[in-house]
Amino acid sequence: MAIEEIFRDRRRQYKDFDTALSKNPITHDVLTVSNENAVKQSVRNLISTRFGERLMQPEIGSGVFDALFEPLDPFSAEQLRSDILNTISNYEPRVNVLDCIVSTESAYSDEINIELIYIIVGENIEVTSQIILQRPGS
Amino acid sequence: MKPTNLTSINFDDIRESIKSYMRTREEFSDYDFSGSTLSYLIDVLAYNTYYSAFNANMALSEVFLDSASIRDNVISLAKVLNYTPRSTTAAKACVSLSVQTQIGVNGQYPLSVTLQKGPVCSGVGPDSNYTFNVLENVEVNVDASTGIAVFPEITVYEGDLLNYSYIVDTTVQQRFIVPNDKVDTSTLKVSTRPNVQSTLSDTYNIVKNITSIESDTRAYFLQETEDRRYEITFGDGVIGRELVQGEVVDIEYIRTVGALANNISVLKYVGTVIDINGTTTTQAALTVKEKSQFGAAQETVKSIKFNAPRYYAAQNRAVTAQDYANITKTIYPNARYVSAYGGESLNPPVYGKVYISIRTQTGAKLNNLSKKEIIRNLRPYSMASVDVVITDPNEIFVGTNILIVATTLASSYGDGTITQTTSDRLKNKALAALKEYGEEEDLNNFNKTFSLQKLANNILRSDDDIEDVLASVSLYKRQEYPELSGPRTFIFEYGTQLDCSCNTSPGTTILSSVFYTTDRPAVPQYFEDDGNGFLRTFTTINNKKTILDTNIGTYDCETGRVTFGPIELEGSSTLEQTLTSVDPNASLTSTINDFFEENSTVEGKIVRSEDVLSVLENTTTDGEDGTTTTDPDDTKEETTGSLIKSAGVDNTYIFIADPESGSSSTFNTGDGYTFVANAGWTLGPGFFTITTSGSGVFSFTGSATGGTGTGGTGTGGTIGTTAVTTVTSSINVGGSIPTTITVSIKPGTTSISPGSLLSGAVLSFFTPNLTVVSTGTGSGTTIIFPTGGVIGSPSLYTTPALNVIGFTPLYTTSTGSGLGNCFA
Repeated sequence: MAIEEIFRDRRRQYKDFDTALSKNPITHDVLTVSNENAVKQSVRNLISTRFGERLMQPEIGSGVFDALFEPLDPFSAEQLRSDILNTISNYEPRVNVLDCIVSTESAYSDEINIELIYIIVGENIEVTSQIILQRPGS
Repeated sequence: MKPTNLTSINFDDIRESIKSYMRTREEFSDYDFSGSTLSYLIDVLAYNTYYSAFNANMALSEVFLDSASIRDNVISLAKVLNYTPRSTTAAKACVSLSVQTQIGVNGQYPLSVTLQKGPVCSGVGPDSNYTFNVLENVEVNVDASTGIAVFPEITVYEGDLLNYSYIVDTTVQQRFIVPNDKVDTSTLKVSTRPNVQSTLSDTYNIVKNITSIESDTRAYFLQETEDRRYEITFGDGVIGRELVQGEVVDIEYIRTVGALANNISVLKYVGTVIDINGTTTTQAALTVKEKSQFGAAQETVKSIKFNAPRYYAAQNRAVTAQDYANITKTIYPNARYVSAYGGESLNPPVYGKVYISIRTQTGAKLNNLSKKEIIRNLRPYSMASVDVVITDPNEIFVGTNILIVATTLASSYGDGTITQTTSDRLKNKALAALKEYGEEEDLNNFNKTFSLQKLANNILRSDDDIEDVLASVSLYKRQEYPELSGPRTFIFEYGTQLDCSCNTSPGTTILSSVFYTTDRPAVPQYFEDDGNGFLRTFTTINNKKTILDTNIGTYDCETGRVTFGPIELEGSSTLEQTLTSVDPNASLTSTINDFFEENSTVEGKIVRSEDVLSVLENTTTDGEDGTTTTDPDDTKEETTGSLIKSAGVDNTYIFIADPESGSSSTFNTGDGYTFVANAGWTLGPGFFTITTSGSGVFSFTGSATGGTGTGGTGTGGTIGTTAVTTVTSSINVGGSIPTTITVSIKPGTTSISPGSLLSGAVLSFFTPNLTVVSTGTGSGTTIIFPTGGVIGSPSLYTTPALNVIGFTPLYTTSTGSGLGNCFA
């Protein structure tokens, strides 16, 4: 076995359910996500969780959803950014955020684009995750 | 893997337990990260488990009386203990009616009239109008000459008089439930008729003890059931008569609002009176003899949980002192708090007696009729040869003096001063906090502890603008004058240590209200501690304290026992004495001997000024033993008494006349009189002027110069020559004098629990003195703590008000005239 493969096997495996709980068309099991995808999904989950949404853990989440209904000026964008960074540093120890860009088409847009660039700790893989949040129904 | 920590009902613990299971599986690994979907699923699982565990725990809690919280469950558990919770109680008032009847066809007034049961009068309460009813028809005779029928004392109950009927159907499981909530079960009347058409009925009585019931006894049992309603059950043919198919059960009761209808003192007649001729009268003169009171809400869950086991423990017989207390509560609903104790715990012990102290709902004392009634009702429960004595609560009033320091933020002007509105708000908050504290601690009950520290903390937390609270406490006790004349010793027991830390400063620990004694009937007197374990009496004239008697009682700093007397207090209703003050600017050259010292007295007499010389001429001194005698026949209009020096710093003296001598003398306003000392001390004229007869205190001022010497060595001093002193004003001390004496003490501790030392002791609050000051940053408003000193705030231990006669307890529900005979 090549050394590279040995390291790959010894690498820590992250494995989680797919948030959509979709079905594997062949085995009919619930789909799973692993490694980078699992981390990515976790980051996305954290950002899109509102404070108070988690049972008995009201402190988990971010204010991104609430910001959707506010005008996004540079000050609130900065506030949102720090909110996201704070959430991830508190609840997602697997990533090291390099940059976070919060943008919108206009101050009154119903969309917020969040571009998150991070490294998965121990992997040295730079991941760019783009999350677009939209007001429900728009 | 075996499940771990199954007993946990904490969400986090359950969640951790699931995660620890996941760690043993290889399928998933992200359970540790809050953002993972698996973590969400674990949350749901943990919440579900938590919910089930809480439900199971809750359900199990409801099985036990200790932990049950839902009323229906508590009732159900109390039912097992044969305890029926007290229902809502209707407020009742006592009224008298006077009805003018009409002359009948026979030319005479009817023989009698009947007040129909149902509404009699109505009154306006704080929220609404309330109707008061009689439960039965009341018949009285008519005065044949005037045609007036008088209903002297009628007890009326607030509410709606309702009735309901059930037709007995033995083929089904039938329940007889009073179909209303807020029913006063003490007004419940149950009767049965053989069938619907019948007008004859049998009355059933409530029964709580089956031992005296036969198989045909017409009795019913009462118990609370769902939704605060009451259920009536009947006998089974063995214990009590069994109902028969087709019988009709009639129930009649009052549905009431409870305490809302208390304290209504104005009632309007709305009843119906029918005379023996069938004439209806709807007009009557109504007099309220006792305002509405005793209305109360249904017994609370907390009270049921407290009382039910104790009632069960008593087992319908009184053996221990606690049994007596529990049974007294059930046979006398007006008792709010009851304390019972054996006579052996008294000092000296009284064997064979049990003492019961009852605090009524209104705080009023029980009259003798009520006490006898309670003793009579307790007799069937009590052990042979044990006597019951009902005593009034050993009531100790707690007076608090509270100084509130407000913050600068409370200042509307920025200079440390606050507006009246802010001051009132803080006072109201503090008062509310005090009430809340008292209610939380249930302080008006027996055997409770008052903590000044907790009270101060409560007030401190009541408003953000309150920066600091300084509080002090005084305890008051009151005794009525004895009905019998003669000297008597008054004992005031506080059950707590006295603050004797200021032993060298007399008058800082104990102070009494004003009283009068038979030997000085016109002298308003007080007593205080002398700092050495004894009491002394004093009077005040022109704001100057003068010691009258020393060693007139004792006090014990450790036990809080103050013994005053023996002394005979004056209990007459009025005083006729008029005091006369003297113009201090008048030119007085009279002399008085400097021999006087504080507390010393010189006996002598008052004579008219122009007679002074003749008195002196007729005064002889025995050269051998030094006694001075005066022939009484040679003086006119004299009264004997004592001259004492005031404790004031400037020379003020007081003449206290002997009662027996003063009553025979007459003095006229404007006339000048002189005090002539017996023991060789001669005073000049013009010290004082007396306006009416009788003994009293007459103050005057004068210089302290003259001869020297002691009693028995001969006449000294000279007679002054000043003319009659001008009378400037009179102080009338006539009017009512107190029939009670109140004594306040400064307790040695701020945590007061008199019940530990005194049987039947109970604390009572009255409205505190509240002072609000404000701090600020402006000039002169900052309070500075001097080094090692305390803040220069108003003195907290200033002399309490002397005439604390009218207490206003905070927690009594009524200040009515008490439980009159009307209700007895």
